[in-house]
Amino acid sequence: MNKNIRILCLLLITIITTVSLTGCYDSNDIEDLAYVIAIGIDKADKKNFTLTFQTAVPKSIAGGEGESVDIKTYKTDNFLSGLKKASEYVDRKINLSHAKVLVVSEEIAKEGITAFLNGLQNNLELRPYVNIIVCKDGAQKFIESIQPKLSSSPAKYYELLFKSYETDFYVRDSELEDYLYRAKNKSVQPVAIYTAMDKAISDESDKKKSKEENQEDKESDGESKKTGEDKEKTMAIKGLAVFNMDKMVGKLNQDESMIYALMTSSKNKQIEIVDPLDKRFTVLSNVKKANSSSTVVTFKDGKPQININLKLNIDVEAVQSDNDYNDQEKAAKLEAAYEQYFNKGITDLLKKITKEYKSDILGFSQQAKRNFKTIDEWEKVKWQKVFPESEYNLSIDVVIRRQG
Amino acid sequence: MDNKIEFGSWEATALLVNFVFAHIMLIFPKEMVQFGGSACWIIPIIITLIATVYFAIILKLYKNIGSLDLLDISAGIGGRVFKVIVGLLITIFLIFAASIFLGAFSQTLKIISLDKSTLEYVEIIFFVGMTMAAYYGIEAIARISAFLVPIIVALFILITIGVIPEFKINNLFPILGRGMLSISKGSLIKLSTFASFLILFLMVPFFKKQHLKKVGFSYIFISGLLLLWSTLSFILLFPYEMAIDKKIPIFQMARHINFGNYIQRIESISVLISSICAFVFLGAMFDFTIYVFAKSLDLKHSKPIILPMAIIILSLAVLSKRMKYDFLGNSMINITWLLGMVLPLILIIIGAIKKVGIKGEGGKK
Repeated sequence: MNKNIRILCLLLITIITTVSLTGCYDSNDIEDLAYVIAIGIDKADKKNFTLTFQTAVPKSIAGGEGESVDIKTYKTDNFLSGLKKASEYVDRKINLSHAKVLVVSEEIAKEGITAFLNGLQNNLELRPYVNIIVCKDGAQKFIESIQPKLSSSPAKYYELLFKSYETDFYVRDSELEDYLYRAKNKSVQPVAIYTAMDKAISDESDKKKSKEENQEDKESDGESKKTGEDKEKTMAIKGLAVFNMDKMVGKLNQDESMIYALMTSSKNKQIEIVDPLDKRFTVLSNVKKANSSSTVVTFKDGKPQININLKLNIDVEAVQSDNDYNDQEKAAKLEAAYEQYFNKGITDLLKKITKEYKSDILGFSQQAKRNFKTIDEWEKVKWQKVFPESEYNLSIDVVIRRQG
Repeated sequence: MDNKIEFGSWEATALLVNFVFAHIMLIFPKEMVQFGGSACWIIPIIITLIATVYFAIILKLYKNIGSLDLLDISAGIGGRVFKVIVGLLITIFLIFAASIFLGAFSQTLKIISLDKSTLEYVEIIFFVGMTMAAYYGIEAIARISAFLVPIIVALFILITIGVIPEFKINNLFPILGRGMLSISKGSLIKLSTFASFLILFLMVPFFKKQHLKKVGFSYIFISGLLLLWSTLSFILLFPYEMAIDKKIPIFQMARHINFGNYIQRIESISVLISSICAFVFLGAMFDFTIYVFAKSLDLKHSKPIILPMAIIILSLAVLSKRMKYDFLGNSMINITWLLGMVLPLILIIIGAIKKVGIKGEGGKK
């Protein structure tokens, strides 16, 4: 090939490559997109609902000055078009790749939320790990109550929030992908994180700020516009919302949620019981389900027979009293106390989900499938109908391994 | 056509494995779930066993054929006319396959990465790569695949290892899934995953007959393991009810990797794997299209036909997408792919009976 033609070809390739493949022409700067961290859905009136978007403000996160989040709320009659409209309200294209939570009000949860989630599930930006939260006091209030103070990044705030519950009752089952699978499935049923205002928690800095604002209001108008009451309340995770298909049918309190988490997860859970040797105090322990624990589901006259064999390893973390649980006799009494606690807790939980909620949130259906050779045979069982007739045989074996 | 192409058995194996790997990247695990449900992992085992038996039979027959490829065998069976007919049939088959995979890879890359670009733009990127590969020839693409294919396979294995903590053994139950009938149907239809046997029997003169056994069994063994592991890891991660809706399976698996704060969002690796796999696949497929066409018509120079042929493939890819017809997942199309196994079998049986290899080699001497 002629030298000139080779040079021309090289130049052409360089120009074409730099122009077409670098992707600069449609590149997006971090400031060009609105990174949604939380989406809230509330019921407005009969047909309409309110969407709340909490977006990160990258400039404030990087600089550390000003609010790190921006909250926009608006009414819409259709979730999908409402989602599209969000770009107009936040002045730029919304991006869901950093979304951490999807909050719905209890009212919406009771009516069913799959229609909302279906609209989101095909969005490849959205991570499968988005947490579904049901808030008793409304999604907007929940999002507005989130004021990250210890962390400038709101996304990190949510990550740390859920991490801090890992040793309590946080479960992965409430994440978007798992939720959707369970909500569309006629066997294992979904759960979501349940939150509500907690009057017991107060934030001194908010109180101070609120007082200053009230003072300013009084000085200018002669009367107070805000009571500051709402700002003094903080949202807290209260337990788990229980669903049947996609409709919320009830909730589990913190203790029940803790037992649920213990039964479904293999991670350490911190559980506190009354000291068996001194009722004035409590004992805090790390409890972990042993790998040798098993659940076997069989069928008798068409009714599920669920045999739960739970082996729990306990490491005593803190004892308020002076009792030394390294002593074998005392340790045996603590074992018996824990065994009694779990026996009652689990029996009550099983009764609640089976008879009251009729919702297999513990996923016994996944074990029941083992009794059938084909999917057709399994589907004929109609698990949702037979699950409330389940009979349980519970065996708990508690072993105190060491005192921390 | 002057034939001086030569490469080793590893290059040939890597090239063939990539043909199967393309199926894994695009659709294979999802299709397995459609056929088998929770028992989808049985299908790759069955098709690998069938492929092993198929190749063992052909290997026996090849004793009377020597180092001839399918076109030489056709010439030995029915003379030049028969060679032209078989050659054109194979060319059409390869054009059809290349255009469908060009469309499928472009669509996948557009969905997962280049969402703002038009489909035609993405297709043109692959079109340029494919055309350049044809100019460099089969030997170049075989040698490139020898070091690229192990890398993409290793990356794929890393993705599947990353999701092991989320595996649920209960997803494998009911143990027979959709039942033996559906599994058998799936095994028959998806046997077409091994349609690249056609390419193997076109490559025989490049690596000589003594390596045929090694290349063939390595191809079946490695591909079989990859098919089984991709399907098994897919069903262990997603219950069958969920897996059936998961498009682009490996990408969906990669989205699940989440190790602390430092290993997250590694689905970009699956974009890289897809792109490399697509370039090697399309380059090789197109190279063989040109090679078969030129050899069957005894063309002295094949370069002038590269661009027209590439444009035909690109046009078909664009047309197939406009028809909104799922060529890759359709059962009838998959059965048509079986031509890649049936045609070599027929030709080799007749060739072995006629002892074309012994005559041909004798004739040359």
